[in-house]
Amino acid sequence: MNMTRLFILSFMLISGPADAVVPRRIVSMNLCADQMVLQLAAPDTVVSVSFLTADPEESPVAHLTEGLNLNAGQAEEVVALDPDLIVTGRYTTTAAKILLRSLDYPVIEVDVPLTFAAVRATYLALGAALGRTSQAEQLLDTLDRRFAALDRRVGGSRFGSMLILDANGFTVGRPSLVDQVLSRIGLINIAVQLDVGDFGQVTMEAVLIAKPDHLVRMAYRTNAPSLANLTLSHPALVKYLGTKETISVPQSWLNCGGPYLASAAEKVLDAIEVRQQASEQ
Amino acid sequence: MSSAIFKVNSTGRGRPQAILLSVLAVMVVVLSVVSLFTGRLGFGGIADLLTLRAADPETFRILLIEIRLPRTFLALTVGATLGLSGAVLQGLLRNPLAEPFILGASSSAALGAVIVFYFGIAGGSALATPLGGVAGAMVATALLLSLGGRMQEPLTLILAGVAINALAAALTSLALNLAPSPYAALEIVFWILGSFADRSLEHVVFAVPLMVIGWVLLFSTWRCLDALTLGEDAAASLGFNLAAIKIRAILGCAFAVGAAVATTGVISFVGLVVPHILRPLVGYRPSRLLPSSMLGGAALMLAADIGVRLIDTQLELKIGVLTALIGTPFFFHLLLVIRRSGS
Repeated sequence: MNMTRLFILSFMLISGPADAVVPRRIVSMNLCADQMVLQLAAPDTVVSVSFLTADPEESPVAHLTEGLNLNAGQAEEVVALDPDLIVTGRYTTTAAKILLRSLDYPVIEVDVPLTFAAVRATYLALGAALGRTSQAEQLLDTLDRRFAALDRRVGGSRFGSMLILDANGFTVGRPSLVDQVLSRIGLINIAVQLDVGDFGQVTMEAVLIAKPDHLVRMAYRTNAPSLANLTLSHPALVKYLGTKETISVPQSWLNCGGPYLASAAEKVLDAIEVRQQASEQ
Repeated sequence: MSSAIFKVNSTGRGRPQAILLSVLAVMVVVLSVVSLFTGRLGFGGIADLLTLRAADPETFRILLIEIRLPRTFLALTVGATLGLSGAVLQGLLRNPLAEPFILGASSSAALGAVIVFYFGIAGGSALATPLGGVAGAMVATALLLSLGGRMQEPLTLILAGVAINALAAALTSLALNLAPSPYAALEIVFWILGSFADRSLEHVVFAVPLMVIGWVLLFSTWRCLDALTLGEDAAASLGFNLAAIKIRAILGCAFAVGAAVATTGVISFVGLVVPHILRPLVGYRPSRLLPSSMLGGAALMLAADIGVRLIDTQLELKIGVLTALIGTPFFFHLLLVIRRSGS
């Protein structure tokens, strides 16, 4: 045991401080961290991401995981990959993080941003750690341009109220980045009136009585039968909607902030504009 | 056998029976109306709903017909199913502890329904799931009633039920963990504790006809149940074909309990408590217990379902929590009675 530790310690001394070099063997252990790492890292420097990210239902960057090792968030499998940078998330098990740090691997943690400022800070910090600051700035510039374009399209007009509905009646309230995006595209998040906090459950009756003008249905594994998904197709909801069409947005677009949140906002605004044009004619 | 529980006397004929059934029927009607006007944490008391009707009649109509009505109607019919099945099984097996939950019929029905629903067998259609429940309940009931003849000691039969229950619950959990939907594993709570929340008229349309078939079959055993209080030999000598009666009871239980559980999950002890409370009021006649247990089961289930909506918990309480809290004291009481009369 002591011998091992001594060996690792001497190895660390020889190889020098990890932050001085650009990482070449990156292991990411969290769904949102994976997304950001795959967006920023240089080609062929990512060795492994979490198994969830390889699933297109879970992650919009699943197509970038081809040929990568997939980990299940456990320290043992990560050590075997001999990484020079480990990126974890808030939900990576604490035991794994402590163990990897105690083995002197360079471990950084990426949190899910809750404000636009935090999105910027998170991408810049990760870009610095990966030695890819210019890529991070480029990504943020594109994101800013997309939101500026959305602002111009909205131009101060209001489109009424909206409820985001996930399986089992879960919805996104305030404080959350999604809620800020809704405000930015001229929508009132009705979940805030229903007092659900940042993420919570609403009953079908509450949805009917709150009468949102638009409904966004989070699409997630809709082809695998479950009672949870059945709540989204309850006849009460379908009849209430009547001619109002729901907007379906993949759940994975809303999870982590960043570019896919802009995609979700664009899709919602497209659907609302199409509907408005149809009602004007 | 426990003659204290199954003594037959000639009191409670005619008029008192009509009074009992009328009182129970009135309770069912009143509780149904209260259930329709009860929302989560009491929202939608009559005043709230009248305001909504005035302001927005279309939403009021959808809320009442598409959300509240299926819930109330299923509580009524599932309660009636469990009360009736309990009364028939207790009479047939001459065992006061017999009921669909304790004998494992409900858990087996849940297993059948879970396999059909989550793996999309037969397209996972709205009719296929209740039929899966029927198949599951049929296997368990047939097994128990075929064993029942050989098990003279009432507690032995209950132990067989415990074994079936454990196996069915384990397999249900396994099936849910293997199911393709990531939500499935979390939904075990619904299947083992039951709920009437967010059921739709579609559930009513497919489950209730199957339950009614079960009721007809279960009721067809009623004449024989009185004769069985004298023992199987005496009943046979009175001209009853016991094998045929048992088959009707198996099929009746399978259809009624299977369709009920496939729609609302396993709800425990209703079939135990209701016949037990009503037995003295029907003069200990097993045949008379059938209609009153049906109404009593419906009333108890409606009341319990109103209860889970009024208790302030973060997520709505599952209905099986309340029925188990009511049912287990009765179960212990009956165990003590059986021990006393057996020794």
